Amino acid sequence: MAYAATHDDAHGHDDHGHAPQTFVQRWFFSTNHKDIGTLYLIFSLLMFFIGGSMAMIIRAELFEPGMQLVQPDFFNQMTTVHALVMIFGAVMPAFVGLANWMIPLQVGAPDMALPRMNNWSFWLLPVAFALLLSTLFMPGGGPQGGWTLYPPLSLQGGNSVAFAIFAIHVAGISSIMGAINIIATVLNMRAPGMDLLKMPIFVWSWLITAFLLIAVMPVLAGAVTMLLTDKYFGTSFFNAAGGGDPVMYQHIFWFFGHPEVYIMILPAFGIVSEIIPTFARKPLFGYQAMVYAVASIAFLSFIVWAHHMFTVGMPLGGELFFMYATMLIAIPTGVKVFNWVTTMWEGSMTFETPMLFAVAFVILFTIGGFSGLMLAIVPADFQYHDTYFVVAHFHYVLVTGAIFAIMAATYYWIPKWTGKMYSERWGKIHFWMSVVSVNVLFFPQHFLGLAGMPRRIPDYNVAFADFNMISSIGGFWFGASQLLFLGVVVHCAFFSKAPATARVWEGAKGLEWEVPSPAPHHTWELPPVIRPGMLAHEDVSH
Amino acid sequence: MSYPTPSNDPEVIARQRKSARRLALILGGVALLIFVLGFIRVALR
Repeated sequence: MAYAATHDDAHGHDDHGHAPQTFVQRWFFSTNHKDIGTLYLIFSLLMFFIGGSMAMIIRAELFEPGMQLVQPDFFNQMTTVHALVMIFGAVMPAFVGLANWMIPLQVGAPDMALPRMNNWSFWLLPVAFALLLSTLFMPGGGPQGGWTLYPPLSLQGGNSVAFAIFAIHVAGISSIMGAINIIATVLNMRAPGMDLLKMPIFVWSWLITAFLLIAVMPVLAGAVTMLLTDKYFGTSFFNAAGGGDPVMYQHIFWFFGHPEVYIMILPAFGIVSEIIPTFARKPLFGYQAMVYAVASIAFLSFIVWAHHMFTVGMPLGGELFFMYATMLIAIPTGVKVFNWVTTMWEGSMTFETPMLFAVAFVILFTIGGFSGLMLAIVPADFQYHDTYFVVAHFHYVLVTGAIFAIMAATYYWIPKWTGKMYSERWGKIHFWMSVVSVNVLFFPQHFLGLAGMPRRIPDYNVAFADFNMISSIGGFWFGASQLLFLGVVVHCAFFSKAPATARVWEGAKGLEWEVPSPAPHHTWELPPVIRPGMLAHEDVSH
Repeated sequence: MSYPTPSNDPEVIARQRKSARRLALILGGVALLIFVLGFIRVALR
């Protein structure tokens, strides 16, 4: 084993010559990539349940027509804060947590390149979300203008929008620092023999995502800062009465917002590209094509932003450009989907929980992709815009896409993190409950949208009653199913008695499987000696 | 191609840290520039 060849196991790994750490020292002042990764993952799980509770309130209110449980302004706060919490608090930190845990292990680095900045990146997040969530307990409540914070609506509420803006600033700084750390680690800390085009595909997808983050988070910060100055300092960036232009906010926001969508899905592509070859027991089909496809998607994400705002009244030429540019994305995305399917083709497949989630990802994300293509068609979008069809589309992409990938990654790597196997039986029960309920939850929303039900509205016409009731039942079912996930994770971390081997999965390849399970507190203090057969992508000439 | 590899050698670690900090400063600088120049561009519109 390469690890043993380069590492002295005799003296235990938890302190390595340092004085034993107290709880506070270990978890609050940590510079260890694994501990910080764990903190990110725990934080994102907490945010997932907080954001999920808000979704339950939304679905409870929409269970039947009429106002049942909450006031309309509180409903609006729930839609707004649910989105902000899920995007910036759950999905993004989960991927950063996975990056923290896995990238140094996968490239043969002893830690992230800038460990103290890593600590700071994480600890900004609780600050950001304390700011955001505290608004729910203030007079007037939280922000109500939707997560996009479009002016003039977003500026008409109380001071909660200022808290939301500061929260976005702080979370944005955290994201930028995390991205810088990932780029510096990947470009600077790879082990000898780990050429760029031999890197695990998860590392590649994160490297590209990190560049996206650095490019667009400052744009969001700029846009929300202008909102802030419009509200408090008398500027008129977006105020038509003062010579400003509210549509310009939408352009700036979506110049951030569309790459942001890919920030939340490219690492998911990387995860699925790791899992499918493992459980198909075949190398990933078209490794280089997969890397170039991710890069192409990242590039295209910068030239499609206005497809989110076809109905604002832009010139026909602009609408056509953004329509065709958006449709172009289907090509590299198709490359990826076909390559995943081809990787499975004639593979010796088994369906452990990570593979189940990965296969579900391929199928259900593709449904989300197809409805995205429908939305890209300008004349059709005039019908679909701001309806539940859009809600169905992006939840297929983000829940059965991003979140299913995060769950797949958790099941895939948790034996490496804890040194113990999770309960395969309960993992599978969690999968089947989730995959059925998530479709009961979101598929009927396509029909609601096509029939004209608007999004972000607490009441609706009785014509929409049946599908809303089905959707809400699916919502409660999906929400309850996630308690199983919590149970499986807690059981694995604290109660499981089944030890995990170093390689964990028969078909797994890559440096992370060369270290024992659980991964020692310090790994690759000396660079691994990479031998033939150790990496998943050694011969990429075909 | 030579790699700035993980190592216990203090010289290598120092070089690596320097290089990582330089890269971080460049990337952070780019982010700050996008923010500032973007803000000015919109303000001058």
